[in-house]
Amino acid sequence: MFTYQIIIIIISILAISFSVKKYYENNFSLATFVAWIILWIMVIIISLFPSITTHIASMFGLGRGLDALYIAAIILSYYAMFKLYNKMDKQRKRIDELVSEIAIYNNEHEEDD
Amino acid sequence: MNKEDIPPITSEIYIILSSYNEEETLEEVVDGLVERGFKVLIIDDGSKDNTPSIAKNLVRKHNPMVFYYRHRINVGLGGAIKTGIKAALKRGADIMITFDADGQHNPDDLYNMYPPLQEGKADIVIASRDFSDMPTGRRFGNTVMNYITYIFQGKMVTDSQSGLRAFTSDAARKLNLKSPQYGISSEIIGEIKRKNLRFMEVPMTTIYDERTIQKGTNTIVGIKIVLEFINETLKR
Repeated sequence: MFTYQIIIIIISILAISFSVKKYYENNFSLATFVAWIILWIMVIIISLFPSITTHIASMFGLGRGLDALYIAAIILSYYAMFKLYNKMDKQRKRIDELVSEIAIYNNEHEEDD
Repeated sequence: MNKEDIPPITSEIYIILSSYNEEETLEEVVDGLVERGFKVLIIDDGSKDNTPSIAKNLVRKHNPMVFYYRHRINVGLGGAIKTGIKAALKRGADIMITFDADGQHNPDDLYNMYPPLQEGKADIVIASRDFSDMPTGRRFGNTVMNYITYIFQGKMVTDSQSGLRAFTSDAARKLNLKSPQYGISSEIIGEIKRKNLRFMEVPMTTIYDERTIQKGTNTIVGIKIVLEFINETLKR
């Protein structure tokens, strides 16, 4: 076993335990939790058996295992962008709500004076 | 309109006046509304001009008919209307009417709007512009917006982007509005259908001058509304 394989496995195990913790703290929905666990288990499997990527790559008609990894990484980053966008949207809504509440609060407060 | 013909106001009516940088027209618009016996909620959506001081003067001048609410930052038309609805409900409104502070609406049109609500004939009244009076580009844009509203919200109306809408407090409580921006107009149309509200359209006169033509819904705003709808549809 190469050093990089050991490092990746350690990172994956840490990530899984992080996900479990997040899930129990109710910061992750069940869907997110399952997606993360599947992702990191896949990372462990691929680092233990790197030749799998070549099989997967040839299944999709791609030349090398590395290409399949790159494509997977690009898809994942798009997914992350989508998630971030939704989070931002949620934050914006919360700010809008707050601005509205402040406007109403200030109006009531000024009239008391 | 003759004084005798004016339908009597028998309920608590609040005008939700959303305003963003309206220092030029705000005073005239508010004066016109108060003269006709309406209570006015000025919702200042984070204006950067003299709107706040003009509004505060109007509150003093017309005490206790005018109330001032200020968004610390600009949220958008939808946000302003939502704040207005919340404020009107808190003040015990029976009927609330959204109105533009830029002077494009004629306050006399309000006389068509509240009687059906007071008489219990409708839950929501929307005043529709006469498209044949519009400049060509504007007419095309508004027709497109009617179809977009139909596609995304499932209801066809004469003027989906009208800024003159009146609703009873019961109807206002039922409205579930998400759009912070201009999408609110179409969203209200969709809510009429989803919440099974009784809906009526009345005619309105629109005052077109260079200023109001520059302001309202243009192509870019139209595209933004569509993107907002697509986004909301995906999340549903």
